[in-house]
Amino acid sequence: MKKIFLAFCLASSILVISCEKVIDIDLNTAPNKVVIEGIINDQPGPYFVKLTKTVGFSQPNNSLPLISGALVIIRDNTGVIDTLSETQPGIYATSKIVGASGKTYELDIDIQGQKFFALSSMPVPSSYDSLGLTKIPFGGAEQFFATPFFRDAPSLGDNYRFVTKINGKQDKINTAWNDVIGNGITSNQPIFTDTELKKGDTVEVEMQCIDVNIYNYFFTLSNVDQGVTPSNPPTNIKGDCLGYFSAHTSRKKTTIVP
Amino acid sequence: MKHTFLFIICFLAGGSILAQSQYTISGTIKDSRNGEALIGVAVTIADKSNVGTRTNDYGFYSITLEKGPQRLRAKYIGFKEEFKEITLDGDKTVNWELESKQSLKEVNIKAKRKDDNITKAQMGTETINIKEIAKVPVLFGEKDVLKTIQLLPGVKSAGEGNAGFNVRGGSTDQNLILLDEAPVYNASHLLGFFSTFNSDAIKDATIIKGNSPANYGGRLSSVLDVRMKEGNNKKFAVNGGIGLISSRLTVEGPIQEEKSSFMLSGRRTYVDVFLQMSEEFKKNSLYFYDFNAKANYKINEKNRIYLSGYFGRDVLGFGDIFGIDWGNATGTLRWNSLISKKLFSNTSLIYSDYDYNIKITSGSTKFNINSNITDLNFKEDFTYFVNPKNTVKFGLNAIHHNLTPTRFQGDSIDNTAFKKGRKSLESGLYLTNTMTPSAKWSLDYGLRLSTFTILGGEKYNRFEGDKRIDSFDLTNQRFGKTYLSPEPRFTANYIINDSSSVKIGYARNTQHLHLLSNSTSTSPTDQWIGNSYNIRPEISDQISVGYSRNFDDNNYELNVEGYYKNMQNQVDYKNGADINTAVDVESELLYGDGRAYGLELTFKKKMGKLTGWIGYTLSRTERKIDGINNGEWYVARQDRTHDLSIVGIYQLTERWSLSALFVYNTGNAVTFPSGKYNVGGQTQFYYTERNGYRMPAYHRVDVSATWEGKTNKKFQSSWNIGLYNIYGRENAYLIQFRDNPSNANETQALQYALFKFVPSITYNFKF
Repeated sequence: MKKIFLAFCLASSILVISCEKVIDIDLNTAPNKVVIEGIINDQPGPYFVKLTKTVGFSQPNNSLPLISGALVIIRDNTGVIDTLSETQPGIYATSKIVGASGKTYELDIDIQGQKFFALSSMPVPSSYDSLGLTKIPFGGAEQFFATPFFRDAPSLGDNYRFVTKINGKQDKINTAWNDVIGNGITSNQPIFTDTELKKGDTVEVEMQCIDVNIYNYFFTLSNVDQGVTPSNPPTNIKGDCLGYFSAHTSRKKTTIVP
Repeated sequence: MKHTFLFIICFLAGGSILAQSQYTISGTIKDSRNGEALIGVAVTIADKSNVGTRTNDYGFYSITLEKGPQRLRAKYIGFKEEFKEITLDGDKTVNWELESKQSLKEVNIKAKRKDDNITKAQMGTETINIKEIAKVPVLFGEKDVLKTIQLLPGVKSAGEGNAGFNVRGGSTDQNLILLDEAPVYNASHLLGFFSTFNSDAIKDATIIKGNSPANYGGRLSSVLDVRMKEGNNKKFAVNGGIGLISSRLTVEGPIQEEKSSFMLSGRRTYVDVFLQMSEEFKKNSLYFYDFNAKANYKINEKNRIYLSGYFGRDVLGFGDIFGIDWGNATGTLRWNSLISKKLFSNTSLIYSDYDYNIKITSGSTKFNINSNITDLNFKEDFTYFVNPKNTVKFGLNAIHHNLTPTRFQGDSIDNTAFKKGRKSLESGLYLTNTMTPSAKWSLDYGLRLSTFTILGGEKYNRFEGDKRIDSFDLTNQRFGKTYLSPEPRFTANYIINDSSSVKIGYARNTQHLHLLSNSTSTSPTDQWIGNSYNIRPEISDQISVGYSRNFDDNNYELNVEGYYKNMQNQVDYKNGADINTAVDVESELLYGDGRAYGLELTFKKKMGKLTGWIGYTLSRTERKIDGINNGEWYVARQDRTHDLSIVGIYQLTERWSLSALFVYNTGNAVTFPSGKYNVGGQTQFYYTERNGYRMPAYHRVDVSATWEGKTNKKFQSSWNIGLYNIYGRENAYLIQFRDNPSNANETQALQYALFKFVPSITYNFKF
């Protein structure tokens, strides 16, 4: 649907002279809330859990409070228990747990008595064949878009997240797809990026096969700035917090824009 | 059922049917210039303005009076008042042709001016005559009924330049928009900047803000009843206009004089012509067109048929990669029949369709995304002119809906298998009486029984919260769940004196079709969904109280109306709902209540060199939805505390007129972040309460000037130049938040504004 939205923006911009400017706006500052981001993938560890807090809108981005001294434990469904160690303030690393598809992982966090809990299952990865580029004429100019070619598994219920890095810098647009339409197909859908691809750019697209809760999380995130009433994405972590805990497969491919 | 109706009518008539010494005068009232039927003309005994009736939607009236000499008066806004002396010694047919005041420029009319606001029981009703709005400044110089009604109190635009509107705190889908009785499901062109109503093809438009009589039903907030011109039955006429964005042409005339006539009207934009000239946009297309046609034929004195249709389409495309087209089609066949001198019947067969189709080509994959709604509608309406004190309307309406939800169709991507389309039957049965029991009182009361039945042919799921608890196939030819809702309606008007009156009204409305929209303003990809096993009919109860006062011989008119509206079973979405690709969109929905209250003031100046109005609304609109804002009340997006519009038209000389418009409103309620955090390597915003913030206040001034060419009998022309937003205010359309591109450590708010100074020039002609 993103494509449709972009098309409308383009159509509107042909029609009207739209002006944009930076404005000052007086926003409330809500009490700091715990933010949890935990990832396990099927590549060799260690895996990390990051604990931070929200800040007010006007505060610097690098001033996010880091939560130290928390007890962070990850278990899998084969009985492995891993107590994470804080390697940097707010960043906790695993030591023995192994990420593998088909396993379910459980995250337990205790921040001075405040408890959090989450479950995530690592799906079986779909086959990521290659990374190509699609040329699309937008207006008069032609633009390249990274296009991952992958074969969706025949069963319904596969979910994907794509993380695009252009010259090593992660692109802002969140891309989350599922196979509700087009189950079992070989996908050749281009990924829309915030940064326009230029000749000579190195593009890396990571395909993550994610579970449905994580899909809902990133799908919501990708829609926040599209005109619908914004909301916090639905977290899969129980407890009063923002963020997510995802066990996913990870495959990366790179191409260079000709 | 028929017997019940007859019984009720006899009861209402209070036995006067039996009187022998009375006879009936009936006939039609038309515009003397072009033979167009005049709707709502007051026909009364000359010296007793409370004893009388009004012409119905087809210009027909009937009045039963005592035997002997009678003097009748016909009175209608913009027309010269007329009198007829009749010696009543039997039933008589009396047809009238009223002369427009405009065609009598040199005659100084001293007749009493319109005081409908004092004498009618109708509440929250405004009729817009296309001629009257011709001089109001508009965006791109394209006069537009939908834009003009947004200047009335209680009616709010859904967004800058948008044809969508909110009435008394309702959503944009809660307006019943009718074009010659056919529902129009998406009344906007070109992403909402134009409405589907080509003003050249339209006679008038009436908006009723919630307290509609029982003959209307199906939407909670308002009825917008738009009527096409019938076509001049006296002579051929051509009129048209050439503007910067679009041009239009209308041809009308008699087929057989006084017996049949036709009207054809077309309009097309030509932005795409400019696109072709630019190398950059050569492969893109962007245009819309629409076409209105109407014909009527008088079979004999008692029977007449009308055939009318509308077809409009928008096309938008970028090379072969992406294309979208959408549009409405409606058709109405009507048969007016005079069953007796007192009983008028109208039978209508109506077809209505809306669809959109998106074509996407990416790589080797081609697919379509589409959705449509098709209605077949049968209506039977009777007007029974019981006696001068009672006019009864009764009838029935049955609509067969076929709704196909948004679905993907293509060689590899296809979900049509589980999106077959839903069929349903919506019907209404009504009885309403307009009564003037005494010189002081007039009443309008009635009951509508509306039903909605799910018809077989699709799979239905039942949800409880997130969980699907039941699922079943409703096979073809089977009837599913039926919803039945009685809707009582009542308005009363008490005339205090010649120049003031008070009104009170109550109405219940139900709505069986609901719009699912993935944007905050109207969009072509909006899709409709009917009641189901989860979605229940939306219900509203509205109470209004009003006071009207006219000054200076009806030159000035003041109307004050207060309302309170309660709404049940409102539909909303879960956070992050995906309404286009979800297997069953019903899993994404939430339900709750709404309430709205407010005070509306209109002050009009109707005569003289300066005419216009001031409209002001003070209001509040709230929602309470399970699953949003912790189930607490919150202000709805369309809530605007203050809403002011001032419209002035000044006749400078005989040929020059100037007009100006000022609008001001409190910004919409919006959700802004109250903090930020970092997830996925990106800054994310933290939202705490739904609609807890406000957009900046909106205001602008538009001006226009009209120059009428020399009037000669054969050819008339005029130039209209205008400027939208003269002080170039950048009204916030959207506010977004992002990292500062030049300082990654900082976040900023970015405001987008649309139209800053939009000039327009239009040339209109008529011969």
